[in-house]
Amino acid sequence: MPLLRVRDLVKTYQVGDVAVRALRGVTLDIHSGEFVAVVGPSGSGKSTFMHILGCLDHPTSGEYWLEDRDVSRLNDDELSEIRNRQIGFVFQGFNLLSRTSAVENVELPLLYGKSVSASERRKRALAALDAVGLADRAEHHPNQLSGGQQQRVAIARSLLNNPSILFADEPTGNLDSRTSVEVMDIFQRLKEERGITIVLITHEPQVAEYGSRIIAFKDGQIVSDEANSRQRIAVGELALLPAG
Amino acid sequence: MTIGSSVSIALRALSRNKLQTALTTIGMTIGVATVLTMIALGSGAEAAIEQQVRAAGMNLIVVTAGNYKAKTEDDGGGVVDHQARWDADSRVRQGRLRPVFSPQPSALSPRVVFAAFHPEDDPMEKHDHPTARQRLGDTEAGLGMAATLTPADAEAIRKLRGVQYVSEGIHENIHLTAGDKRWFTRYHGGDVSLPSIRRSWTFTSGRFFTEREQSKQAPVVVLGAFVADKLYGDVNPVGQQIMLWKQPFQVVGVVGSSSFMMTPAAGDDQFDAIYIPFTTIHQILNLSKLNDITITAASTGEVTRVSKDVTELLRARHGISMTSPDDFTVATQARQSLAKGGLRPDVARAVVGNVGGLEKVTLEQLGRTLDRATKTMTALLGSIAAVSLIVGGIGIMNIMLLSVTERTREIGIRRAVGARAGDVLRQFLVEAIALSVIGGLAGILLGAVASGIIAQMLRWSTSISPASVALSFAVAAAVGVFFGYYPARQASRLDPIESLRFE
Ligand SMILES: Nc1ncnc2c1ncn2[C@@H]1O[C@H](COP(=O)(O)OP(=O)(O)OP(=O)(O)O)[C@@H](O)[C@H]1O
Ligand SMILES: [Mg+2]
Repeated sequence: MPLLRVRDLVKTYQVGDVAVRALRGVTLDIHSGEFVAVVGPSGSGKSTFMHILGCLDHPTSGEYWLEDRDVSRLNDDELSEIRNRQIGFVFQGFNLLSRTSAVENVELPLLYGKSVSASERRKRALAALDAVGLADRAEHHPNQLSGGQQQRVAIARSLLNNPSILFADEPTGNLDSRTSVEVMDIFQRLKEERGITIVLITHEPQVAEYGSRIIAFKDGQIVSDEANSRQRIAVGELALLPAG
Repeated sequence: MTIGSSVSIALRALSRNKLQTALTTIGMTIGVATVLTMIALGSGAEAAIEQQVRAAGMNLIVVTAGNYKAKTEDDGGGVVDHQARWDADSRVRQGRLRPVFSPQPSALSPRVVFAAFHPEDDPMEKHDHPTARQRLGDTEAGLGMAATLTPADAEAIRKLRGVQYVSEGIHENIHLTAGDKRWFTRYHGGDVSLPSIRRSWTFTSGRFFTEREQSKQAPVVVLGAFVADKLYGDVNPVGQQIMLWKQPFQVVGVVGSSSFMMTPAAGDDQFDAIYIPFTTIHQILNLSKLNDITITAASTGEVTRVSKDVTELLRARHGISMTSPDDFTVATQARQSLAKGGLRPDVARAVVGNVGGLEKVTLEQLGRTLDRATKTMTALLGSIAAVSLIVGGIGIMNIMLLSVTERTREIGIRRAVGARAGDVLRQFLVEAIALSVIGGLAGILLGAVASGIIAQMLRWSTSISPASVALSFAVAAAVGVFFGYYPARQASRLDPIESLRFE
């Protein structure tokens, strides 16, 4: 049974008189443990699709089953709980709280859901920051961090609650090539070691090649969906790259 | 999400914008300060009234010679004051008053009730000039002539159970001279225990006369503070001599008021007066009777029983038969104490004005009257406080609505990582409550300072009880909940994805 089952998903935005059809009938299954790379031109509906899969947005029509649950039947609190426990997001624009420190941003998911003590929260947040190489920036505020550092804070945050699915919208958009590979390494290890399902949205074809499956969007529809036979392995590449 | 983390998030959010927080809470601060100050003033006034009433001697019983009050009908209130009738009659004759005819026809004659007082009935009567005074015991009021009370009566009363202090009383107006100064005032012949009966007394200099002086019929005098001021100004009168009945009297003390509600003034019965042992007066004027006997009951609860015992005792001593009326009058409680106890005039007026048939008033009724007065005041003060709190609350609501808009993106981020609508609601509600409580705490401080200053300036006692602080705090929190709920609900209803896109 697939982890995500999407049938004929449609999302239409009504802007004045104009109906913008961001998604026009997307059908797709994603299985547990897959590393799906989503590519497509700007405006093709990738982010919209990710928001719906992440239970943040509602489709105009179509079915979406997460595990064995019909998401359209879940109430707001249940959706919040799914986002908190099962799903991690890395947004295209980071979406960090600008007036709180990096470590507090990372802690955020632990504030909600099951109660975790403040010291435990801090400990786990620092560990997550350490994993993305930002242990020494814990107390910095987002505006004191570079774009790439902010992106890594966002990644640390998305992983804090041990999600079973990670949605990452352009996580390497602002990173240099070495850091990009490092992030891909993190993702690949999450998949291997924890069995986390990853949906990665990217513009860059070479980044998409770290995925085990590549889906191409165009005008709100899937134009190609195939397994990646030439998957790149980040660990091996890192060994070859000169140390940053 | 735990309450603890909601509070710390709220406090941090507020501390980021300290000036805004401060400005927003000013309304609340003023509101709560008003509430607290009002309660402090209100309960201070209440406490003062209570203390006054107690100091005024609610356990006082005064036996007056003669009985000028006799009931014509036992209608539970139709006491006819013959003296008042006489007074009023004369005034009607002079065309100053018109009789008011009661609607119920009586079997004998239409009952006439005059809207006039015996001067004594109005404890607040202003005496413009000392000579204009008419007081209980004045010969012109026809009472001093009913000479039925004797020192032996007083002695017998002293032995009754439940009697605390007894003072013989002789009162008359008098001209006194001190050097080249003359003053027309009133003397009170009394017992050494008088200072214990008049509890609002304080000796500004010297002392009261002693047991020894009383038994030796010594020519000693204690001046009321007003008289002392008139005769001696800043000079200490103790040791000076004044002339009474062409005889020299030595001044041994000056008595003033210990109550800030009562300052000695011209024509007041206590301090524009002088005190002499009644034995001395008896000897000099060759008298043997008394105008009145003042008694205090050991406990206020026993006043009624003691006054009944006194009545029975005196009837027996005076040999009055079952069918004859008393030849004396026993007055208890409120009226006497209000009139003579040094109660502040406006307080006394409030009490008198609210209680009909004052001589029958019980402590309980008096308490209820005071309660009613306090309630009226509380309602008035409460509405002032309510207005300031509403204004403060609207300020908080306004800033919270602004904050929700400003922080829409933050709300979206929190929702995306799993905050439920309820978590968002709680976060903003806690923030609003924190705002109002911060304002409230500042208000409690301000209120305490303000009521302290008011107490100083107006010499009005204020009291800030822990309960009033707790109430102010609770009111502040309640205002936060009330005015914070709407903005918080707006925040919780935002759509997650739209809030994330919000710029
Ligand atoms: N809230 C909205 N209201 C109206 N139209 C919208 C809204 N959000 C997205 N769209 C439209 O839907 C389409 C898909 O947008 P989406 O953000 O999913 O594209 P994308 O593939 O993520 O693009 P990019 O690679 O540039 O991020 C676009 O044409 C966009 O204009
Ligand atoms: Mg996008």
